[in-house]
Amino acid sequence: MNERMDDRNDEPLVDLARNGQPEAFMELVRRHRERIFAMIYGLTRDRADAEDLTQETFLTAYRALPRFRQKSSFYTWVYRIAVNTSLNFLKKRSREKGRATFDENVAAGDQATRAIPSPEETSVQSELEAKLAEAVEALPPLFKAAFLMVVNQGLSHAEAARILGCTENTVSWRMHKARKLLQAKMRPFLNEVGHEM
Amino acid sequence: MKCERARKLISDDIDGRLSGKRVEALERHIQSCAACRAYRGDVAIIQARSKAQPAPSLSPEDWARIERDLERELGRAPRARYRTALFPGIRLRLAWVGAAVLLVGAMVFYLTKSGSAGLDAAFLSYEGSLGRIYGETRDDPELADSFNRLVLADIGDTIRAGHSELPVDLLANPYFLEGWVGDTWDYRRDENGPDAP
Repeated sequence: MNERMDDRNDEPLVDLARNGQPEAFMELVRRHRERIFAMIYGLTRDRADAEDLTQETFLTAYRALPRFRQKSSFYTWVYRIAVNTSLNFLKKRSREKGRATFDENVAAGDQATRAIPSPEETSVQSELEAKLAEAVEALPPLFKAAFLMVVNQGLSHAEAARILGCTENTVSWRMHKARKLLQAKMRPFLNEVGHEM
Repeated sequence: MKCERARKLISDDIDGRLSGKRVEALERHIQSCAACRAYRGDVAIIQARSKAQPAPSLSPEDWARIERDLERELGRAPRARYRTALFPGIRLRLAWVGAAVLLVGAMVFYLTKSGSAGLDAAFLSYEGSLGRIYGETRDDPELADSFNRLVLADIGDTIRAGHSELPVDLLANPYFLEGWVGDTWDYRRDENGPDAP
């Protein structure tokens, strides 16, 4: 298992939190909040939403602690809650705004918040990164979740499968589809950097 | 090896999931296929660029604010308590048994309607039945999709009708049954295709 998934022993704190000690739970929050936030931000690409969803994730976890049977690590469990919470949020957001409008708004907001320089000012490399961020953003949520977990957070397919509640083969298939979509979208820009990497 | 399969293997290879024999088969294909060679170069760049993106984070002040908000919410949240269920998971298992029975029923329905397969196939094992259906639907994506929808609808109806008091809301889980839909179906068909090892 990835060392980052279980690198600290959370069990004593989980037990204390389950017995009604919120300060023990807050320590668990401090331990894992950075990675949980990074994952949620990767899915939503909105800082304010990611802050709210991070808070919602931990609150949901606290309320659900009595049902946590410790078959997985606390981190894996909270991570799963974070992904589900984020995907439900994205589903709701896309329903409210309509898929097309949502995509346009996210792309526009993303460009604005990241203050991407104009094509004249930017290097080929940073433009490529901006395009890649847009392409990842446009992936279907389930593909994006798998891609962010495996590529950005370094989880194995087995770990991602546990979190996503699916099989390793499904994760493997989603990774393949995500890469295909990204490659198709990025193809026009990849010629400029070549295949020297 | 077909290019589509090679590209799936390229994705698995990047994620370290490919065994020796498959690596060799992939390399043989790559040597003889310029398009897949270029594809692998593209996805390698995408992989490297994605991994190099810095993880988003919040300032200590932001975390302090979130922590304060969360502590306030935890104070309002119902206190976490252990609950020991009698016969944990039994109701959930019953739901799965029900779903499996309906799945087999749906297979019998399909095989009866198809005529060519005949009722004999209904007495095959679960795996055998599934394999038979893969074979029947391999060249007809529309039929595969219809069958898939039929199975999903039956399982969903059973759970809704007979197990409304499930300990967890399976249908609210965005991943429940996901393994049967769309892409994974294609993947399984691909895995059982003529060039499967």
